[in-house]
Amino acid sequence: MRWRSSRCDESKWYFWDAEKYVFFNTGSAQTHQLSQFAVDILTLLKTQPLELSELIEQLAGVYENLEFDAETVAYLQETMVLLDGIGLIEPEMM
Amino acid sequence: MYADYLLSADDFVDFHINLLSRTHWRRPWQPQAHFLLDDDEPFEPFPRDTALPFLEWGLNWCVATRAHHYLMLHAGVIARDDQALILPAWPGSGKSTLSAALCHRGWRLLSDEFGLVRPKDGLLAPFPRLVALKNESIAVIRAFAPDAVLGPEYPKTRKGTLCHLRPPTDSIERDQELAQPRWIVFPQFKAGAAMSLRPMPRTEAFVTLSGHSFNYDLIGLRGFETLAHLIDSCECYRFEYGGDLEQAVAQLNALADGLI
Repeated sequence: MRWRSSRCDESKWYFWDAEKYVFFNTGSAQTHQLSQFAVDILTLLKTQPLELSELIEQLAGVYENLEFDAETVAYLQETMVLLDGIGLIEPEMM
Repeated sequence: MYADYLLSADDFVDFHINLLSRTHWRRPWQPQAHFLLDDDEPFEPFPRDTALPFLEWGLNWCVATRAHHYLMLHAGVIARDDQALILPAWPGSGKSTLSAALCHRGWRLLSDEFGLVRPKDGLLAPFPRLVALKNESIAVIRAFAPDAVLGPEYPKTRKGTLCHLRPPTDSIERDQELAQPRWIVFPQFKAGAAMSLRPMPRTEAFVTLSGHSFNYDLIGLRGFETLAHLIDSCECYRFEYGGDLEQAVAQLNALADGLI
């Protein structure tokens, strides 16, 4: 299953402090506080829809010193569930 | 209490309010005040002897529910040299007391209740209405500013004893002069606490301040961008103070003087 960002072109974000973003989702009119990791996922999925394995590969290029072991992948999946839940990413319809 | 306020010379006004005194035949000993807005009566009547707090509360309600061309913050706002200090806070945090104190030490009162941010340029619109002091704050301000004009005390309201302070004449006369936001200070009064003024991360200030808005959720992206611009243009602090109002005022003056 491939994932893509939804409405990110229309959404706005600001950041002032390291690792924290405030993000306005124009789809829901809700404001969210996101981590750097979540924003990196959104940025990659905005470029093109990706399978989980492809996303891990691309994130490994962003976070060169981070080992994508089971714990990190679990954290990635948790973050994606969160982003899906607030409507910022969605599975691509085949 | 309204001696310094000019009657509008324009035909156009935002709200047409009538405060009427009526006595119900079943309770002739309890005359009541009715608040009419454009001939609608949005609230249950109040006892007539609390007509002034009722009118002031009703005016707040009109603005909070209608003035969506502003981003509206629940905050005291005062200015020095047109650089504004915003004091967003929950009831009981001391924002009205601090606003009242500062406007009797050379600051201009824009409002003790509404931070009205204009989205097109981020400037703050004045709304210098009567300051509602509650409970212990009444005696504190009487001692702090003996020349201040205070109205009658209203005991046993929903918020305890209430007393209104008339803003200094200069604040009322300058009610068309917008101010540039410069500092956002979240005050917290804690009896006996040592005073502290600590910088606050902007992300935290954004999230906290959005929770102090009357209409942030309602005005959507315009609210988000206005709030983000406001945070961009201000230094943000948490301010805890324990009761020495002169000391608190001195600390905020030092902030405005660039000494902190």
